Amino acid sequence: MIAYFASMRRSIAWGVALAAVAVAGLSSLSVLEAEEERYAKILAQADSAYGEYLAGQCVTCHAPTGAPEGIPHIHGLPDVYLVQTMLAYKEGTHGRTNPAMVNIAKNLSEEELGSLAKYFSEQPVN
Amino acid sequence: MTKMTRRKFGALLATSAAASTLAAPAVLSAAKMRLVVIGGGPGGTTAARYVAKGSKDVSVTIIEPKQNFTTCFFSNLYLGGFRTLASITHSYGTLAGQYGVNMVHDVAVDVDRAAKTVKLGRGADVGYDRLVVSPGIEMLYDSIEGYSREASTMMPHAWQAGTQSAALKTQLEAMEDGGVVVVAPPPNPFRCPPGPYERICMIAHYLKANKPKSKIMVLDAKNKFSKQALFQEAWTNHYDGMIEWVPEEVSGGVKAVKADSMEVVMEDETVKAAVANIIPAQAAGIIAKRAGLTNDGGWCPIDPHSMRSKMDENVFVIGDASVASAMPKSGFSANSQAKVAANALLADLTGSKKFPAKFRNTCWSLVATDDGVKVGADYKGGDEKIEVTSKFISKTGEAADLRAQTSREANGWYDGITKDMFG
Repeated sequence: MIAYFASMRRSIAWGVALAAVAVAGLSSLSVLEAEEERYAKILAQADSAYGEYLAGQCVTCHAPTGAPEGIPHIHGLPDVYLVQTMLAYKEGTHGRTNPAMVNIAKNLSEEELGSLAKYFSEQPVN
Repeated sequence: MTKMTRRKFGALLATSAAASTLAAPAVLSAAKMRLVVIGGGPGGTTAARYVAKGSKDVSVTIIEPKQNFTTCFFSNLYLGGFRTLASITHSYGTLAGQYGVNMVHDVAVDVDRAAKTVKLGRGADVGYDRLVVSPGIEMLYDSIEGYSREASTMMPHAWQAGTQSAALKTQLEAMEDGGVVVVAPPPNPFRCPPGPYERICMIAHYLKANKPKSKIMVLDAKNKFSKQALFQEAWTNHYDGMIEWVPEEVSGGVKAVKADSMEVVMEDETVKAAVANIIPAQAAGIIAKRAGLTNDGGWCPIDPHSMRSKMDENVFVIGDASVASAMPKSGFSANSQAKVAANALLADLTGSKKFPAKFRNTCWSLVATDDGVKVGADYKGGDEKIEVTSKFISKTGEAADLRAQTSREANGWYDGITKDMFG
């Protein structure tokens, strides 16, 4: 499971980088580095206890166990992937348009979404 | 279910070491802070579960007469044939077994706020250090002449799920094709603002398949309603010609009912109903009033940063009974408010950190098979009241695949919130 998400995370990151190269003609390495640096910076200021509190408002919909229907499980996903996804909702990129999630993400500061990502990444996958 | 971290394990060891130096176990249990929760619905269960998993040093008791809880949310889907009652009925077993919540299946009949005790129907008193009041709604039967608890067996409100929902469904199944189903939505404020209109869709869904000559007459106490454009679009798209919505400015609203003859009386007209779903005006559950927590309008004012009662610093009111301003009265809102309250309760009782109040609500409505719509918002504790930070709503004319996805989301949410409530 972890290996799968790690590889997904790499492929998403590379996808972002390659798309940016195609558009802007930048070096793929510098774009990737900039992205990773941004996620690392956000995660560096994360606070698990605050994340746990904020997560209360997520788990009303994102169940920790069972067969997901319509709403994905997020417990145990990699922190970088969660930061990247929430930023995509917040900034309207990568085709992330679900209005419920866009509405939630735009009210979260980078510190808050980093704290959520850290908390959920530390939860067991069931 | 609760995760034993190394830190918590250490804390428990420290507690038991301290306990061994005390004379009697009774001393230790008396030293535990006591949270008592009135009401085992979305607000009460969530508050109890979050405080129980947040600290082993607080004893948590829920006072709730029902042995099992049928959720009001999704009970419309039962009327439409999309859910069974069993699938929306939940046990308190995990809360008691895994979270150590003490379930007291009795009615809270009074609160002595000076003595900090709750009086039970069977006579005993339960003492508390902090009290959560989450009783839901009281039906104001007197708001419609001729309506009463007795009349509601013949003209169900079905606004508290369980036997009332079953009564309404049984009547729909027993009526003859070609009859008129009267739905009378209540005046504001009331539990679940989109609920009556989702219900109209679900009743129409049932009638279209089973009794297609029947009609639904909606005798509203209001002139507009939640997600109105979305519901009216659905009524045209899926149930054209079946539903007549009559606003208050046209009919004057329902003035009286005669349950014996199944008549619904307006200012200038009386309708003979095959089935009458009469939803009266509402107020906070009666225990909130008895406890002196309500305002003149019958609802409970709260501090928007904690859900603490403005009448008593040791009492928190959550869910439908509270004055949550911009937040609608919904199971989702109650669950959200419960987590803000739990954070504040743990800060009170254990000295843990209090975080800023953030709330959320989303209401999904199923309007037909694979056709769902939603509305939602984020909220924060404002200067005087709970305030909206941002909101969203489904659009009319959305593609079928998006609507199908929204209806699946509702199922995912049901799974999520019920696990968050009951563990």
